[in-house]
Amino acid sequence: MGVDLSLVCKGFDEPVKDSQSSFRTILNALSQPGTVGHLDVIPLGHAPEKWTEAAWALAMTLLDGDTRVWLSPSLATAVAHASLQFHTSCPITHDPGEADFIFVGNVNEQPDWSSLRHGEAEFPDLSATVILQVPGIEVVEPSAPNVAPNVAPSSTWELRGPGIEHTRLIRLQHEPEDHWPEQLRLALVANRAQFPLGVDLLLVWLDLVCALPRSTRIVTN
Amino acid sequence: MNLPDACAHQSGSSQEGSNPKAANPGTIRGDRLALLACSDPKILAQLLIPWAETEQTWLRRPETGLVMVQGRTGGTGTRFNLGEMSATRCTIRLTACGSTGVGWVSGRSAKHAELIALADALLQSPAHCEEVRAKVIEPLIKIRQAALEAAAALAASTRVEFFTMTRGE
Repeated sequence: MGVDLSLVCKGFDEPVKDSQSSFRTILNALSQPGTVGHLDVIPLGHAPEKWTEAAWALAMTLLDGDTRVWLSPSLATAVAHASLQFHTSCPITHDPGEADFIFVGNVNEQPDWSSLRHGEAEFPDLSATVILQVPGIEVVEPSAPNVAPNVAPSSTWELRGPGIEHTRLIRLQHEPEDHWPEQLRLALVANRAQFPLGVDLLLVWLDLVCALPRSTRIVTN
Repeated sequence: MNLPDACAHQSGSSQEGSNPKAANPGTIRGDRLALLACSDPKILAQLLIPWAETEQTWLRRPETGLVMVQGRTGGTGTRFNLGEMSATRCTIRLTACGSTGVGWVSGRSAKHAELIALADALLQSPAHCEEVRAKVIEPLIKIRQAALEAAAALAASTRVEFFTMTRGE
């Protein structure tokens, strides 16, 4: 089975160094949910079309011949398929329920989380990791003491849990009429209820990543 | 490592289309890759000097690993694993024309793999193909031919003819 080399795009410039630094960034992001990690190993413009540099860096770092991957329609381009096969040899599946890594190109292409792998009681780690490309996220500094914390708009989330000393606030950028932030929040709440099973979420935009592992709670108002 | 991922263009053809089997043995590209791999890397480096500064980007830097060599029992039977062999591979893309070249060679020489990939990429590019064929491939074919003839002549000098006597009744 051949790969059309003319479609293959670049991976890491220095595979060992770049993959190690990326892995460290991802580890830090998952260990300290709600912080923003900088995956600056893929130069801007070097990811396949529709892929953010952060998502491509995640793919180059985490995927290998054993990790099954599902790509959402906007990401499942010929260039992406050829490049993933060339650089990682990862098996690509068309069934999200079988995949270990779910790459979602935009918020409208998310598969139903209940159909993803959530792990088993004896092996909670046999679950899917969702990488979701979003318009953007900003870390919100704790507001002044005399402002009630639950006045935040709906797309600002207060996070608590392992890796967060007290709370962290993140705000998702979106259009005013979008429903996806609330849908995502509900999915995360349902996911959290299944702990220690469930999926882990990595939000990416540009060359930045923010992780919400299944251990993180979103505090509701 | 997986089997060679080389395919795409036959040398000299247009950039459109791709043939996954274009680099298999028996094809033009496949035969040239074999020739390059079996050549002396010092001679190959010498022949490629005019193109040594060609601008290129790495799709895969030289890496060494093991390939499982397979044979067929009795030459025609089922496949079996003969053993593992060290091999080095790399893939480059020429910046100017966008053609991609692969280099696969047995052993651990990254330099040899780089030279093969450069030659392969030049042969995929319409701009350089003819010149590289004449100045690199042709000389290598002549060198190989001379070496084969020398080996055959040496072997021929050791031939012994046996004459059997028919037994009279």
